[in-house]
Amino acid sequence: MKFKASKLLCAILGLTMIISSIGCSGGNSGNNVEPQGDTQTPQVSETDTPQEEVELTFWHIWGAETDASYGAVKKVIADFQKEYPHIKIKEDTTENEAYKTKIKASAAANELPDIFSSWGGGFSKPFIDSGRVLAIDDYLDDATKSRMVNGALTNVTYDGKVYGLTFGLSCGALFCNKELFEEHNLEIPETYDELVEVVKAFKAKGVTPMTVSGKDIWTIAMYFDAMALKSAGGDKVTSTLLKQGSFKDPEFLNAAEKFAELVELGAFPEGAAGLSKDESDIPFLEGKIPMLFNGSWTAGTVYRDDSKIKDKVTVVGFPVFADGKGGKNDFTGGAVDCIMVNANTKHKEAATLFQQYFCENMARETYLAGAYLPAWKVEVDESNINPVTVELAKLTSEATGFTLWWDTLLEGEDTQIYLNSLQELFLGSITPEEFIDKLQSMYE
Amino acid sequence: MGKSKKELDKVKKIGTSGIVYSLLFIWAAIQIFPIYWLFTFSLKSNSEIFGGNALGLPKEWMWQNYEKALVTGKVGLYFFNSIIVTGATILITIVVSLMASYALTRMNFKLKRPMNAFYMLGLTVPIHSALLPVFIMLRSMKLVNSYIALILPYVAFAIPMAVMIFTGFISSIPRELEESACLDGCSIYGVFFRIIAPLMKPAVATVSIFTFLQAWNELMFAVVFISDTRYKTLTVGIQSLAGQYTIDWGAIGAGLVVATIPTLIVYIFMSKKVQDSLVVGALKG
Amino acid sequence: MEKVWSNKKAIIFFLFPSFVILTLIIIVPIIMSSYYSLLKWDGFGKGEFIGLKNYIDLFSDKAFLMSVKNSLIFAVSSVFIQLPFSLLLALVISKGVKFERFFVTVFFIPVIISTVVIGQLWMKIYHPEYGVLNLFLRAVGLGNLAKEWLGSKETALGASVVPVLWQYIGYHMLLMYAGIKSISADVFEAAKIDGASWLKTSRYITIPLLRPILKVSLTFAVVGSLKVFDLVYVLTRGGPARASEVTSTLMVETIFKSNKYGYGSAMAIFVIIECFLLYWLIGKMFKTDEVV
Repeated sequence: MKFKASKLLCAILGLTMIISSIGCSGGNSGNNVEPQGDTQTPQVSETDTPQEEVELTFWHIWGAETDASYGAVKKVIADFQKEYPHIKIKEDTTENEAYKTKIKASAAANELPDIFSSWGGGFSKPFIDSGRVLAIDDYLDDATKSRMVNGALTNVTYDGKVYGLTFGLSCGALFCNKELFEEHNLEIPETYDELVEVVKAFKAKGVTPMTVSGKDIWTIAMYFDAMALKSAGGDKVTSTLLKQGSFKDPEFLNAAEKFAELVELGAFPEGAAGLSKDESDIPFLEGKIPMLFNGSWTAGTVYRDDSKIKDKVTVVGFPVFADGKGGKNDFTGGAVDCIMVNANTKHKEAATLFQQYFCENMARETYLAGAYLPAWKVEVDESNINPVTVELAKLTSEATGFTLWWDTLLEGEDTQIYLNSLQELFLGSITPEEFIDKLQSMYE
Repeated sequence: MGKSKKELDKVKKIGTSGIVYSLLFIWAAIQIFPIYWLFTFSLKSNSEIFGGNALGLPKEWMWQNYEKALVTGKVGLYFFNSIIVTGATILITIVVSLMASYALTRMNFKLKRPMNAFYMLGLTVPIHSALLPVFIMLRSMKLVNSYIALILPYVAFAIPMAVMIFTGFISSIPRELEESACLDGCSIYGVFFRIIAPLMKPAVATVSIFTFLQAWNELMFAVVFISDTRYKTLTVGIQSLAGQYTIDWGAIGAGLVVATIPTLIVYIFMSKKVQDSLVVGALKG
Repeated sequence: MEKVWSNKKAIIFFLFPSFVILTLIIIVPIIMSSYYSLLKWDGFGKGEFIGLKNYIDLFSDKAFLMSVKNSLIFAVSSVFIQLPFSLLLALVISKGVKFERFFVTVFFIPVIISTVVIGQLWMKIYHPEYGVLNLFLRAVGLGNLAKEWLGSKETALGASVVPVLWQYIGYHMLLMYAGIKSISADVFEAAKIDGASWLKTSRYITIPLLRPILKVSLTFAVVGSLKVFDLVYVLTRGGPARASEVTSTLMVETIFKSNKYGYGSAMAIFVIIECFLLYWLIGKMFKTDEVV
């Protein structure tokens, strides 16, 4: 008994060593993505297609019918299948948040599919650093690149190499309920001082001016990212986030102080710190709260079935600061959602072919669906598109630049530092100066 | 005097039992509320769920939420998968845990105490930290994307719980029962299958309920270990109704109603077994 | 009998299947996690071996220490509030009240409802504006007690503890109820003949005989509290400003959001050791006056 037990223990230990070495080895170790669609299928179909049959696995996040992108994905994949019948796309969809966990675990366990949707900036950086993602420069010709809008590749370029393709662009924008502004004889604010006046005026009439969810902290970050941009300007924000500068520069403190001022003025709902985004959106959609600063996808939300503010919404950029370096046409956001190819895929040609086809067509279809602004140059009939999306497209067509959201640009750990200290600033449990100190701790 | 005391007692008894019953019914009303809430939730739109009418009846009965859940959530197929995975999990868990529990409580061997601790270990593992290691294990056994990829971890995480409950129940059975059976010439297997197993009915029913809940509702393993629609389970199907920026909570509620009904049935069925066992015991007594 | 109970072949036969499953899915992963906990590793590329540094860092990490404290608050309130209540319910409904089946069924309902839905329900109760709790307080003239229950640092932890305790009352009740039901009916008959009241029967007969199950319940309550995650995540995400952070929410953030896999694994190992110590302590407590 004893002998057996020790033998078993040895076996377990041995096994563990092997396994943990697999777990930690670089991405270049043996590729084990199951070749479900066998490449060497000899029975080339009766049709005289010379190409060999290929099956590609594709994981993405657009599997819910409530998503504006749902129909677009379905259509683009169906079109692709028609055009390239020998390349079979096997989809698997997962809910957004769970997908992030799934894809990280799959990367760690070397179980990534051939093609997967991801996010540019900090999220994908560890994937790229560990060699999980294919650099696609060799597959991308200049003609293709020329069909993309400026900045389409910025967030998917790492160390000078392109690792993913984007299709749509999102930006932060201030969604305003025109009716409420008219009712209270107020103008849509263009400068920060006007914003403060508007906030005070609404407040005086018992209307909560803006909504935010303090529990889903990224919604607070939407506001602060924009304020930092208006204060410091795009280049400074980006270089500081990339750790080539300092949060101690006065522009950041200025943004933090102004943010704290808005909180102090009661610009946000009472108890917002405990509300989820689903809850905090409702008063805006019911026409009780006049302003919401959030991503351009909100245009879709405004036209949701149960929305009471359809056709009442106009959209502007965040008000500019008199003492700020960011201009009227500087926006937060950018082309982030992207498609990447597994570095270990057996079908690099087919996978990159699909990647390009998918992104270019998704750019058009998701714009038509009102989900994204296009990251490729597309010709479409805009009359059927959600009017707020069209307004956004016009607004951003004059954009001088897009500065990525902090929680997207930063890597995991720094993102958490940012979000957690921003929540504290929002609660008023730290001062703007302390907030800056916490941000600066990213440099340590 | 004696008579009036008796009467007084009777009045007192009725009084206290009146209070007891009213308290029980008040508690019952509180406990039953979540079911009502879930049901009305499933028939509302987001603005009703998150707006002022959170607790009342729906103003507009959104039966189409069920259509959304059943059709787009592919609830039918996923339901079938959930039943297979959960059923197998319960069956395996009960058999292997009952066997282990018997050895761990009654039988004598040197490593008994460390063995008990070994079984307990599983109870302490935070499931999120186990995700990657278990994933790597399953992958090395070539089990990813199969029913077994879920059944095996579900069983493993249920065994410690089941063993704890079973050992609790076995140790409250008097040893004399087995001893007298043994005198009649029963083998150890006979003692286990003929004496112990039948006495474990309330415990088996309880463990079945708990294992059912665990396996039926599990989400994280189900999301990560399965990337093939053929093997996805109900919770994953319901989750997939949530979009990137908009979540249609009514449809999710509808999916959850569909998922909760079997749970309720299993519970009612199994708790009846728990209750009936007393009667059986008394008859044998 | 002792000879029968020492049958080596039978012991192996009984233990083997579960032993293999546990080894593969629980023990090997624990060993792997222990190894990860010695690395500085983002979960992707090559890890760097840093010895016990993660553990040393844990004990100077305010957020972590706070989360351990909060988890222990969950455990203590579970033991002293939830379990006595569950026991009381189990004792009352098993003594033969009318509608016994109805009560057994209904009291368990919160356990079977998805945590997401239970979370949404409590968010409605706590909502600062139209939440039932604040409406009630205002209605009875205690409006000054109305609070932003989930949104303020002072109340968020308490406001997350209550739903968790409440949801699992039925769980422990069922366990205890089944325990009482498997006590031989003769015992109760004898007590009845002796004219013992329900209170006395419970105190001197039922509860002592239920000790093994109470131990199980206690263990589940403590270990479950130390690992609590779902409902807290739905209600507060561990916030605001970490006020209701528990070890599991912090660990999930560390592993999956901050990509600090090694550090998160160290937290996991800490939880395993913590749970194990308490399990051992509970065992000691119940050993001192074991009846059998």
